[in-house]
Amino acid sequence: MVKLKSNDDKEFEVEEAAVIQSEMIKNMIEDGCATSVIPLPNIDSKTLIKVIEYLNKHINMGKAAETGEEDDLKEFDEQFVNMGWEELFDVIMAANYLNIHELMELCCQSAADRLKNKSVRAVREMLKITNDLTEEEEQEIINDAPWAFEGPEIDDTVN
Amino acid sequence: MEGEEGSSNVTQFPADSMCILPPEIITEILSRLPVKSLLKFKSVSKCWLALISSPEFIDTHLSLSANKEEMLHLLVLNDLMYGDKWCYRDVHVASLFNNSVTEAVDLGYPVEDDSFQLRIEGCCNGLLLLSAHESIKYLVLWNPTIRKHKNLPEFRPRRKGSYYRPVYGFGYDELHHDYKVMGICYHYNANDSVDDVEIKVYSLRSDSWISIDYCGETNFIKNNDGSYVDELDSPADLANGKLHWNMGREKKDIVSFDIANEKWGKVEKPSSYGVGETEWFVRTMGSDLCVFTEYKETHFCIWVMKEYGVKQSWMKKYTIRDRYVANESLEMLISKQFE
Repeated sequence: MVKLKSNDDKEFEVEEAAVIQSEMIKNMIEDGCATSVIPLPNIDSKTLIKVIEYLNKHINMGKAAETGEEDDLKEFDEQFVNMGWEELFDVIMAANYLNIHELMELCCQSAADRLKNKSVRAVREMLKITNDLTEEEEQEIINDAPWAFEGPEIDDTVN
Repeated sequence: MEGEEGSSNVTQFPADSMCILPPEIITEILSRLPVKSLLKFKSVSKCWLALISSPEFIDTHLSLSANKEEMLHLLVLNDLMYGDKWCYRDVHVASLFNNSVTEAVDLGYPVEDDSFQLRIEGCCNGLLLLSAHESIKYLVLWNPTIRKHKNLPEFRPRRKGSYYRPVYGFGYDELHHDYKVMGICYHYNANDSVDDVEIKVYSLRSDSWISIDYCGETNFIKNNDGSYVDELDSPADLANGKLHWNMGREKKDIVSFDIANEKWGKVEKPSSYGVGETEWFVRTMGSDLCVFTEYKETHFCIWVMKEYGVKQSWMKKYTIRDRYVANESLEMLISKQFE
């Protein structure tokens, strides 16, 4: 078992087989730096619980293909990313920090799927980006491919 | 990128001061978006505009999307016979499997003068090479995903009036990071036989045609009277970094041309087909070289070379009833953005 500590001082025990899906922790264990508790100063306990839930479910990924549990795993993934924006970003940040490739892939794809049809205004608001383009610059980009700004799918809501 | 002095922002993509995600994660997310969304999101901020326009991002996006099956598109040319203008329409292949009725999206037509029928001559990374059969003047590179096109300079054959339109091949030269078009022009004498072959390669980087040597090549066998025995069939398809043609009449080996080092080669065909099967044409599917054959005018078969250059690896992979399914005006292509 490996002990992880979140930035709000909560400790979690995770099976080694699960936790080594994180390249970062795998390297720490291989280098012998994981003898006691591993502090994770960038991750809060709420996010860490989500990440551990994912790691535990994906522990037997190889086996899933043999036993026909792939659909089960797919369903888990779909449910897993069904979370709020802020929460999703926290998990992405954690997956990036811990270097968990599959989790990063899953969450970034989910974020992309949610952004895909959003209006420019909605994206700015969702990601808290200030528009620093001049009106002329913005119009030039629109004129370059006006069809990209049209269509029934364009969604101006911010959730 | 060089030549962007004064704006170090371009390569580093610093975080918007307010954005809640660091730039490397924004890049991860955006590289998973379809091209239409990316064109739209260029107008989110200066930082996003620089990111989405950068060659590094375009490369990442292409390599991610090229491997996705859902990025396959079917292009259908809307004929003048059925409408008031020429027009290419786009069908998303994935939606064909999922929905009973699928909308075809109008992509327009890359030239204003729509009195010419532009046919697809080649397709690579979502870019299309189109040419007008009636005129040597129209040779167009088209990216239907972003709906931008570029007219290529004319081939300009060395002898006037003695040729039909050139045969073209199109592909990406990975060694020199360049898109290249190869044109082969046959010159005919008064007896209507070929007495001169002229070959040029166009490079998108230099935006010009350069004549290349074919002398001493056995691919162009001469008759006793000096005329050429064989012609290459159009169109040419890319596999393994090489363009491939069938030999026009005799259909012996497949002729290949390496677009990076500009060298000719040959690929052997299957040693024999099934009884009643006759060879039709050579194409590539995905990255595999294929020979299409006809069977009694009711079926067609597709032979696939599983391992490039290994004759023993040819195998008959598909047999399909109704040969008209393989209409050559239908092309599979992979969505890609190109600037």
